[in-house]
Amino acid sequence: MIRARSSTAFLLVLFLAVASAFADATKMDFTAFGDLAIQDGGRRKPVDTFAREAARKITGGESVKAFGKTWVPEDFLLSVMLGSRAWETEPIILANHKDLLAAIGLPPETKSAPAADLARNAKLQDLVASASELRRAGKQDALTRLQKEAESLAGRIALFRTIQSGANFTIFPSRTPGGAWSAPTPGSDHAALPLLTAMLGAYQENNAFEFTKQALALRAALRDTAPETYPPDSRLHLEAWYNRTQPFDWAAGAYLIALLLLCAAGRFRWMATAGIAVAAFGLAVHVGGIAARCIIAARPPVTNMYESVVWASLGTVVCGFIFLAVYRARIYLVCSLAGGFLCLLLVSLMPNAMPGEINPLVPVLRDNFWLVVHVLTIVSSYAVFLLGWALGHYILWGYVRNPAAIDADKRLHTWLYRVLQLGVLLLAAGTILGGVWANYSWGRFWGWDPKETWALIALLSYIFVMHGRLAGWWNHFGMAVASVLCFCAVLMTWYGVNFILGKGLHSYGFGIGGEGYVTAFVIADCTFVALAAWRHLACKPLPSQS
Amino acid sequence: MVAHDRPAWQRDPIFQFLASLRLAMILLFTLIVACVFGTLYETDFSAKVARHYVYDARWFNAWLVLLAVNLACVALSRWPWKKHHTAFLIAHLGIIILLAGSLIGRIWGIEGTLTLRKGEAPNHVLTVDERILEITEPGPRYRAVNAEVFKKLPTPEKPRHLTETADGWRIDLTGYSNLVEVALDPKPADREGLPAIELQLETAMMSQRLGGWLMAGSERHGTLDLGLAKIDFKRGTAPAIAKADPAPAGPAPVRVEEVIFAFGKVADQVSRSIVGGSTGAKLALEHGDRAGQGTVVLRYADREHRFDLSSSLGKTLPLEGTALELYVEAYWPDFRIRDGKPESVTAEPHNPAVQVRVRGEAVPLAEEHGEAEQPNALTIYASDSGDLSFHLRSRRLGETSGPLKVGDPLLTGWADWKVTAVSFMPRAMPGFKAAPAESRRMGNFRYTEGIRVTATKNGTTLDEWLPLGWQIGLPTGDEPLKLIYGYRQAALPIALRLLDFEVQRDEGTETPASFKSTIEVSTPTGKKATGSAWMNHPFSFPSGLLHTWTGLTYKISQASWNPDNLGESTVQILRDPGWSLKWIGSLLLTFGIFALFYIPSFRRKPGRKPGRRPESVPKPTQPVP
Repeated sequence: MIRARSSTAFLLVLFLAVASAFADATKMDFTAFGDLAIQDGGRRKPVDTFAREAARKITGGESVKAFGKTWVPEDFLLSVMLGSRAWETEPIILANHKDLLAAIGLPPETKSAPAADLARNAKLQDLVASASELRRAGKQDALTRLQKEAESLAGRIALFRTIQSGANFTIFPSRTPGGAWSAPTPGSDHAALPLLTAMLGAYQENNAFEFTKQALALRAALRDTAPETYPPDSRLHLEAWYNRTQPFDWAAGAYLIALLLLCAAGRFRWMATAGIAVAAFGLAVHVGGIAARCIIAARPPVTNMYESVVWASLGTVVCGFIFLAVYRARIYLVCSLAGGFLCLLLVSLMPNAMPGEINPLVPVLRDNFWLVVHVLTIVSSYAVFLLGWALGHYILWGYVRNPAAIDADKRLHTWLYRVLQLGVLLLAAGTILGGVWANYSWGRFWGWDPKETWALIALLSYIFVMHGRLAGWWNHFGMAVASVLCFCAVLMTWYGVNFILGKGLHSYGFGIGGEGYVTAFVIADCTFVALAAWRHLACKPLPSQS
Repeated sequence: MVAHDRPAWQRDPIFQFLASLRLAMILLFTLIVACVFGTLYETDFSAKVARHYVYDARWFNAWLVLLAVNLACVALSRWPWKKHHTAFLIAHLGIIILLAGSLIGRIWGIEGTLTLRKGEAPNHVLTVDERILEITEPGPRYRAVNAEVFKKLPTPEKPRHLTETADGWRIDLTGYSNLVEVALDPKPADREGLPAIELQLETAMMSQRLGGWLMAGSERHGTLDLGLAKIDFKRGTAPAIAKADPAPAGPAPVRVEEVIFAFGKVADQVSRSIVGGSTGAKLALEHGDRAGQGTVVLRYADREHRFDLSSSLGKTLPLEGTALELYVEAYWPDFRIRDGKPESVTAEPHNPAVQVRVRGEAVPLAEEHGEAEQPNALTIYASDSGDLSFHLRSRRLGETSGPLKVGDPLLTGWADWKVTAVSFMPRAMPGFKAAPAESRRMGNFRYTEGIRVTATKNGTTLDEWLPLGWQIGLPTGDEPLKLIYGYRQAALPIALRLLDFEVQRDEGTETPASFKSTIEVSTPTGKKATGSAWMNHPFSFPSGLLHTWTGLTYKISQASWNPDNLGESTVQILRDPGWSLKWIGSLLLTFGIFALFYIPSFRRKPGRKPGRRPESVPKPTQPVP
């Protein structure tokens, strides 16, 4: 009896599996649609990118959960544009800022809300109106966090509305280079309109074959109308491929696996070798991703928080490999993989605070060799300090566990010092190269801009601890603590100036979000340092290290 | 090396203190803390406050000088220098040179902006980012004092003393506001002059109250635009309105026919006039849950006509109370354009739409309005004999006119707005009054930042708000004391002329991608040069390697532009004589750090560990590799 019932259950499961596989087989394939070109945000890109950005901006994630299923970005875009579902009343618009929710009278546990409700919310409208009043008056500085959050929420609703109207679906190319592309309008006599209509019809009928066929035909037809300005297939494919593969997630995964292998290796040589190989694979994917991004954007990856974090992650791992090669110390690679993985995890988890979009550069960043050199150097110094930070944690953990043993391990402390040395050199060079760039762009070498000043503060902090070591005020344990604490100054330069202070000339990297996490992280880190210090002092027979 | 081997000056306690690592650590630590506070000040107040209290403050610069002295002494304490001192010396010398360069640039450098307009004569007056009060005394004696306001705002209780005039007036800064409202304040005139009226507007519903002066016959001061309505003040008498005629005087009804299309989900319509002109009717579709279910709503001449969709489709229905009829032409539950033709994609009401035809006799909308509704407007007239009359138009009350009495409120019919003429001057000359406002108000007020200046002498006090860029006269004597609040200006030995200004934009957007000014520079001796400055590409005059490398050149960079006037461009002018020293210092510092860490022969041998030594002996301060 029992056996019979369980076999029924088994059959049921099997049936469901087959059914879902069947559903998968008839699922729409959006590849060809995603490879159409669209002009958006000041550049030409595949519709795939456009759909992802739209979904992320509106809902906070690339895949959208609605009507009991998960929508891929293109599906979401088409469905909203055609109004094939009641999107208006579906809670999809990201609204999760606690203070804003309280201010506009939504329950605090809200994650997202329907456009229809938000559009009717009088309190939200008042907030946005007060914010735009301030902007009109030229007093952007006086905007409160609440007003900024209200503005970004209103921006999400507006984007949703624009997509509903189809006005930003600018896929009809202009023949003049730099000219504005247009969105399809009913009744227009554009040659490609019938194909577009046929493609949309196929989408609504869920006819995957016809949909792909019409999308391919549409791309060819659109290219025919403006062969000079339509991006080549290779460019569209590359970017769509970059979007779909998410190379940095792959790299992050490889780093994690390598990290686990290396940590578990112990005396097993093969495990360590395998770990290094996996890390090298991750590094290759990472480099490939950055290269693809450079080709797509036609510029080096130096312009926003996302790119700097991805670059720093790469820098940390490269640095780990270099130190591994020079000093034959596996701990370097372990720490660099941990740092690199954390960075990539961060960008992957915070798509809204650090959007990975590829946008045209603001004027001040264009066409500048020194900018590239400056930013790459300075972000590399962050990367090296990140490695120092990770190594510092490893050492401090040693102090928590067995202070006497770790204090005696001179080699480990020298290794940390080597990392800090390289960081100081890169940071000093990067800061000065920043002066070279500032001299080109703003006409002056140094202007006490917050970003400049914080880079100086970070540099002075490391120099301060190095001189303190010379004076004999601290040594092994002190340097480990410093590598962790001084990294707070680096974090402030890197993240804080743009996200917390939000002032100054480096405004192209500004953003909001994440303060809570960063503050919690810094507090947790300081607690850890205090714990290590307590253990260290408790086990020390003498207060002086000398 | 033992202490007594050293020269006597190296054993001097003051020298030893100045060369001590302890001093260096104190200096470094203070600099770190000061910089942190500087950036916090900048966030909480402004870059200017940060500069004033930290970066440009005397103590901060004294600190930097002390740091340079400390570095110099520590370098001298190693005398006689050996090869292994090289890296240490280069790094520390680099910082000294860098600091010297900054000091030179600070003292002898020039920095400011110049706004140039195409077609204007060469400009050589540099605007420096420093607010000043220019005082011209009878005499004439001219002086300019710094009137920059920082963190603490001056108040009448805590004034900031600026200066004293030759005839004994004490000038104080007693207030600052970044929202000074400049309002018209007419003064009565005898013969010439224009009529002036002071109006007060009130609404209880929006709890707003505002007022201001208007002057008839003045282009700039004759209109008050509230956004929802406009008030004009003119000379003459209001035209009489024939009260019997409810419809506004206009053309007679003609035969019209119009096609109107509307969606059920979006409140927007497309209308096309076939015959006669637009009726101004508004169409809406209130759609039900199922296809074919709903109500067609047509609003015409302030009346709503409702028809059930399913029963009226394809029928001609009269619009009651008008000479028009409605024909519900088509309906799509799921509207889409396919092959250039409208059709319904599915039978589900995803995107319902309806199209109707309105025909009959009606007064078509006037061409110039294009909208059914007439704008809200009030015109007040002042006759030459001094009588006031009004002509009011509102959506609710229609058109009215009549005499207006000072003090009697006039209901406008625009929400619950009430307009009262508070006072009236048949002849007046324009004058202005500035006062800080709490917030921006509706209407044509101008706002800017401003200071409050108080002049006192023997118990007499004169007090006035002075907006940025304005000049006022204080009646301190027979001739007024002239005050101007503005930016400091400096004459340059070169003059600039804007030849061309270009803006490139990102494709398909209005976002500027690049700005470029083409400028002609001339000197009094007749030397001329033409060049372009754009983002990241400054233009130097005089050019040439020698000038560029020494910094003895005027560097012209693109600073800002005016989106409303593409013939205008603002450039930044910078001259920094400390430029080359900054570069040399930076290079030395970077190389020094590199050598300290990575060139073994340039640094002290690793074996000798520094540690705590007797206090009197200056320690060598090289890092261990």
